[in-house]
Amino acid sequence: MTQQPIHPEQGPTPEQLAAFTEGGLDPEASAQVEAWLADHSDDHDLLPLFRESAPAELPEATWNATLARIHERVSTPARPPLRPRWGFRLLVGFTAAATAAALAGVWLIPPWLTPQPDRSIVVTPAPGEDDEPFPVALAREVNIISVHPRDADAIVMGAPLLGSLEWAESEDIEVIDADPHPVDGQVPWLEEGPVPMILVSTGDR
Amino acid sequence: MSAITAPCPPIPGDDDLLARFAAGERHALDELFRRYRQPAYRVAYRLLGNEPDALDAVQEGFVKVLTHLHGFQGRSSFKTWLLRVISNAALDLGRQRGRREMLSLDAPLAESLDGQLLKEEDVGRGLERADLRVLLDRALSTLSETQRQTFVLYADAGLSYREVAEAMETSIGTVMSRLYYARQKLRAFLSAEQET
Repeated sequence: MTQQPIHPEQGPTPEQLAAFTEGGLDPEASAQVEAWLADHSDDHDLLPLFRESAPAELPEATWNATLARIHERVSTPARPPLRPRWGFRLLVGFTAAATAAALAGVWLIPPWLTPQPDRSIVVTPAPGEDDEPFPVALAREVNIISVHPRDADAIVMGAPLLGSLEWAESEDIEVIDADPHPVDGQVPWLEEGPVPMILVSTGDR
Repeated sequence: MSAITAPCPPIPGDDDLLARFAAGERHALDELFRRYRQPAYRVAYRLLGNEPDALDAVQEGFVKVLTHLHGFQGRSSFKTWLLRVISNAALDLGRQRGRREMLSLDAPLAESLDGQLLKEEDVGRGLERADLRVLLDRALSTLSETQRQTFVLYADAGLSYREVAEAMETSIGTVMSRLYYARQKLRAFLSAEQET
C-alpha cells in the first residue's frame, strides 16, 4: 500500500493520524507519526518530573538476590492441581444423599396427601446466547470453601489468566468505552444493578 | 604481517534467549533479567512506592512469564509482555497491601510547594527526589488503575504508543485517549497542589 510521507513540519494529516490510531499505517509511516508525536507532545512538563523522581539504581547484590529467587521458583516443579479435601467430599456426599432421600420421600407419599400444586405455568427462561458461561478456571483447580448464596449462580471457572480474579458488582464498574470484537463485532455489555461478577484483571481496561 | 580479527558474536534476541531458557539453559534467564530488570523495576516502583514491594512484583512478574511461556504466542514483543505482567503484578500487590490507602489524598505533603515549582529547573533547585516522588505518587493515585498503568508504562518504562498498545492489548487510539485524560488529571492535581 502506498502511503503519503509524513510532513516534517506540519505533521501527519488528520487522515494519517486516524490511520495511525487505528493501526492502519505501515511500520515505517507509523514510526514517523510516533516520532512526530513524541517531538510535539504536550507532556514536556510532566515527563521530566517522572524521570527526575525515578528510583535510584539498586546495588548488584540486590539484583543477584532477586534473580536467585526467580531461578529458585522457576526451577521448582509446579504443584499438582489441588484435589477436593475429604471434608468437602464428605459434605458433598452427605448433601447428595440427603437430597436423594428427600426426593425419594416425596416420590413415595401418596398424591392425595400432598398439597395440590398451583396450576399456573412456570416458565424457566432458557439461557440465551449472551448468557453462555465464560470459563476462566478448571473445576479441579478450585477448592471452594464457602460461597454466599447470592453468588452461587455467578461462579465462573476456566483457565486462569495471568491477571488476578476479583469479586465485584456491576455497580462498581464504570464503562468508559467498549470496542467491538474484531471478528464478530459484538460489544461487551454490563448488567444493570448489583450483579456479582468476577473481574479478570487483564489490564486492558 | 596480517591481523586476524575475530567476528563479534551477535547479540542474541529475546526469542533466542527464551528458546534457550526453555531448553534448560539457565544463563539465558540471567541475560533476560539483566536486559529488562531496570524498566521493570521502575514500573513496579512507581506503582508500589517502595523497593521491597517493587522487587516482589518484579520477581512475581518474571516467574509468571517464565512459567507461562506457552501463553506467549509472539503477538507482542517479550519486553511489552513482561512489562504488562509486571505492572499487573504490581497493581495486584498494591491492592493486597493497601497502596491506595498509603497514598490517601488526605496525607500531608512532605514539603509545601510555592509558585511554579513543577518545572524541571525548579525540581533540581527545590524538591528532593523523594518528595517529588511522593507528590507524583499522590497525583497518580487520582487516576483510574488503567490510566495509571498506561501512563506508567509510557512515562517510566519509556514505551512508545505502539508498545503500550501492545502491552495493554488495545489500540493506539485508546492508549492516546487514556494518556490524554491521565495528563489532564495529573496537571489538575499538581496545579491544585501548587495553589495550596
